[in-house]
Order: sequence, then structure tokens, then C-alpha cells
Amino acid sequence: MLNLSPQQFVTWDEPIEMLYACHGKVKSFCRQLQILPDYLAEHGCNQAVKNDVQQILNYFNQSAPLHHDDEEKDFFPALIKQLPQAQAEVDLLEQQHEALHQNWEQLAAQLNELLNGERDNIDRELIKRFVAGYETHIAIEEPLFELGREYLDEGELNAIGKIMAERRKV
Amino acid sequence: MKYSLDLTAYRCPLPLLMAKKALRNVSQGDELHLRLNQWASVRDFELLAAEMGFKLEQELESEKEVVAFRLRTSGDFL
Repeated sequence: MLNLSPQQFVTWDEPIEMLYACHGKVKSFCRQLQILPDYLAEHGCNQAVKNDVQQILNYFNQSAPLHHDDEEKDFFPALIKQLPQAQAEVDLLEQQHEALHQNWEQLAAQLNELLNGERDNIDRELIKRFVAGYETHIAIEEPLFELGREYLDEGELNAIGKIMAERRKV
Repeated sequence: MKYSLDLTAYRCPLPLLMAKKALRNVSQGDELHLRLNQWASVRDFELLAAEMGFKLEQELESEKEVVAFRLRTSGDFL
């Protein structure tokens, strides 16, 4: 068997794709969260649900903060340098990150209680608020990703992509 | 040809994007053995495999912190 070096597949040449991939995960987990209360009411907290909930906890505890770091520390500053008029939207998005983290803390507490057998369902309003927060946020953010494709040159994209890849090393 | 790719040193979404790149270079009849850490979602790799005409054949090992599985081109199963 031929061992391939992971280094040859590190994708620092495609940081925008990486940002979109994170949003893809968020959207997919939000869809799962929206059907979770009805599923729990009908089937209870079986092993399949526990596995899915653990995946959601893993993503929003570990990967989502890295994604927000990608944006706040690397992508947004690079974009503003080329496109200063994006500052107002970036300020709004950074404020929203704080609200998203607060929503997540409340939801994560309930998801952990579910896994520990301390509750049998999740507050629907909490899920609704969490999902709505991301929907609003992503609708503002993805057009900025497209501006990034348009206004950042290859060198800038490679530089931020490299930092983003480094951030994901275990 | 059998290939092995250890992606346990990376967090989401990098392993998925790296696997996608690796699969673009795999030919009909080849196998790609992937090793992932416990934070990876196997479901994502099932979807990626289907999208790219591969099948996730079977889990080869499942330790506490590592998930490994084999991807083969779909044609091998016909």
C-alpha cells in the first residue's frame, strides 16, 4: 500500500472553499437540530440520536470557533484592506458571532443534559433562536466570501489559507 | 493500486477537503484507505464518496480515537 503524505493535499490554496465548507456543516447541523425535538418525542434518545448530538457538540465546540477565528483574524482584515467599505458589515458580523456563541452555550448545555440522561427533549424556542441566528448571519456573510474571491489576489488567499490550515492541526 | 492517507492530524473541515483532493487522483479499481480522528463525521465522507462515484466499503478499524475506512470506485461493486 502506498502511503500518501497529507501535506500534498492541504488546501491552503482554497480558503474561500474552506469557509463555505464550514457553512455547509452549520447548515446541515441546523437542519438536524430542527427535526430533533419531534424525533426525540417519537423515538426517545436512542443511540443514533446520541451519535448525531455528539457530532453537533463536537462541531460547534471545536470547529465553529476556529471558523470564526478564520474570519475575524484573517479573512475579514484581508478583505477590508482591499475593500474598506465592507467594514460596517464586518462589524455587524463580529457582533453576531458573540450572540451566536451565547446561543450555543445555552443549547450545548441542554444537549449535554440530553446525552447524560438528565432531560428527554430540547427547548424548541432555543433551537429556533440558534438556527435563525445562523440563517441571518450566513445571508450577510456569504456575499462577503464572494467579494473575497473577487478582490483578494492569489498571494493573499494563499497566505490566509495557510494560516487557516495551520489552525486545524491537532 | 491501494493508497493510504492519514488525516488524523487535522480538524474539520480540512480532512474532507483533503480527501476530496486525493479522490480526484484515484483511478478506477483503486482503493483509498482513510484514517480520521474522533472529531470527523463519517457521514460527511459517505456523502463525499457518493458524490464522487465511490463507495465507502467498510470500516476497517474503530478505536477510541481513530476511525478508518476504505473507499473504492463504485464500479468495483457491480
